[in-house]
Amino acid sequence: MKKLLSLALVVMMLFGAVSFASAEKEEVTLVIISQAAWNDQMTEMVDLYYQETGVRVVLENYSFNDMLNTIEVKIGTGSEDYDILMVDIPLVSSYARRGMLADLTPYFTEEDLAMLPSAAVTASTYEGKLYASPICNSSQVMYFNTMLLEQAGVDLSELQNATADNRVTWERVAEIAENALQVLDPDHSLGIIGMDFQQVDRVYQMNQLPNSLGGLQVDETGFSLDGVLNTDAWKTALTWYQDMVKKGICSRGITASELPNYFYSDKLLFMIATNEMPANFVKKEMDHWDCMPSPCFEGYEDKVATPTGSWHLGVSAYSKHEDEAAAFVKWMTCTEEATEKFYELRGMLPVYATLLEKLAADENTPKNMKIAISESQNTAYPRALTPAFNEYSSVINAVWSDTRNGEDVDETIEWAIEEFEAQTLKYKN
Amino acid sequence: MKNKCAPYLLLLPAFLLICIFKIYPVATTLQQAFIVDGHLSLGNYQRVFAEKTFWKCLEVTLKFNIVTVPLQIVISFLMALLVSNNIKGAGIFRTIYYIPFAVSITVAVMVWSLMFQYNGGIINSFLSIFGIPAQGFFNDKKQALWCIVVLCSWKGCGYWMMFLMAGIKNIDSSVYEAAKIDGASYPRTVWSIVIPLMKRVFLFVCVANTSSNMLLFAPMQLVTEGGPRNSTNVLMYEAYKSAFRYADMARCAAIVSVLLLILVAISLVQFFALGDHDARDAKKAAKKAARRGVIA
Repeated sequence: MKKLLSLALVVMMLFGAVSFASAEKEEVTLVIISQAAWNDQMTEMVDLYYQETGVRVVLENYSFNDMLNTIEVKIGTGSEDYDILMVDIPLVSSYARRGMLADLTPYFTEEDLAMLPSAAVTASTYEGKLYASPICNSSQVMYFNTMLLEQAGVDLSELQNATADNRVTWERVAEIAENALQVLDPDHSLGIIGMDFQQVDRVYQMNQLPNSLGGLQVDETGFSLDGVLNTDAWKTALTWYQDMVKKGICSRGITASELPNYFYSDKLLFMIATNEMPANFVKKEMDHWDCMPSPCFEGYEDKVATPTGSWHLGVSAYSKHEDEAAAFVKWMTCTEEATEKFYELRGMLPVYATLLEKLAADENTPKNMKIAISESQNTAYPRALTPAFNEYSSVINAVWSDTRNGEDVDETIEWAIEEFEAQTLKYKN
Repeated sequence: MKNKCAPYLLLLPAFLLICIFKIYPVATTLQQAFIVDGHLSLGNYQRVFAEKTFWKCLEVTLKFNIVTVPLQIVISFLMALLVSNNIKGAGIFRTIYYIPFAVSITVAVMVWSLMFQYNGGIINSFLSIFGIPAQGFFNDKKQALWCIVVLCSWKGCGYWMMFLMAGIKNIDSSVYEAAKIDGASYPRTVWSIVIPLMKRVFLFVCVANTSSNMLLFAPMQLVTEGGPRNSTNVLMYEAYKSAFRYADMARCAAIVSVLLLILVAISLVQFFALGDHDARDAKKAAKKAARRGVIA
């Protein structure tokens, strides 16, 4: 009996030791679907989080398009492989509608939400529940290559002194670029581009042209482009852009991923780009640049519309570590320490109220950031509000791309209206 | 008994793998295509057939294959004839012709997109020497599909050449000798002897080439994204977009099943057109004769 008792004790002891060891071993590791372009900054952020909390966060990086596809495929089919995902703001409602995101409402207090811009909170709320939290905002700035423009004999003061109340017009920018190209690259043998958009062919940046003429993104149902694209605003914007390409001022055949390189390597005079570009200029040792607010169209000075809205963090509805994942999202997006660190690393327009106020008040805040803050508060124009945003962006991207390639503007518009109608049928039935 | 089971046992692993990785996904796709809101329905097909995009994609897919398949087979056959000659250095050319196939499709697409680039691409630079204005290539709706045909043929011909070359090498040398004695010229030998004797190889190349080109969409995805104006939007790419961009698996399943049907139909036509009729006729005649013999 004694023997049996001692054996039982030994077994119990071993059992206890094993369970203690396994409890000690159990360390939470969170996985984020992230953008490859953000790898350096996100790596520093997750390292910092590990130092503070002991929770390891692993990045799984993808290119922009692949990341969206991976989210659709993996989270859309209930994969438990990921805990956190980067969410492009127009997709929040689409993901939430399909049950891909966890409800974050219980994790954010009213005080937390008060520190975030109400527009961003509204955009990440679906049927009264918060599904994502903004990590940053974006705003557009017109950058120009001072060295090339000086070489072409352009007086920079007109550009450098431009303000939000006294903008240079698109027509004037085109004129300066055309004249400068005649001096710098008259036979186009050097391949210098007059002006362009960092995200050429993409709805996000290109739509600012029709929006700045009073054009809408999508109709109020969110499922039709009729009465939106076939309006003067869109036709004028598309025709103007096509003329710029035909005249050789804007580029043809260069993709959005290639275009910034043309600016870094002195092959592009004017570039509309997001506010965090200067961080890239430093990396590429490009120091002869300046910036000004986005141009306006002549006669439409009061209608300037600049793209806005950027990346949010959400928690996968299928995560096994929802609490830990929500804690990371909250730390990353809703604490002064993390948002300040991320701004320092990435240079993107922050959304956290105290940091934003600090930047706005600080005289040493860079010019591009001052412009971005002003634009985000005064001319920011939200992207199309539609659960069919993927379909919308595919169609509108094709509109810009086809226009750039010389297709007839009216035919392109007609095609796009029909195509979007067909693509969104599944939402209507 | 043992001997009877052995072949089936040996075939079982391959059969199981085919069932798991080929038949099961096909069956699931077909099932998905016929289900709308949990009920059996033709709704997905109705929706797809009502779309202009689907018909445009079908047109592009057929146009692409009608040009690409014969073009690749003719080029591959000519290349195979060249490298089948027992002359010095033929092996080097064989390797050179085969190299494009060893290059990954992504790399090939990137290289060709740089060459075809509107601004500063090598082909436009070359054309400018002759005063020809810069061409849109991948950015022109009239040229984009044909640029993809060039790209695919550059990459694929070396591969199909290997099969055709093996077919040529397989022809008994005595047949060539007999033709030579009869005074047949080289083109006559190729036309009347090589081609008829390679019917089976041609059939394989034809079917395999059609399948691979029907399912090809990497260049469309990587360079043109189906544009300009859907001019390179093949059915397979549309199916891919449906599934992975729009998360519309039902539409994807409907498109893929239509594609599958077309592929089966084309393959059957090819089997019928290029099948070994002589052998079949001989078999039938032998069977008939045997039956007569039994009756007698």
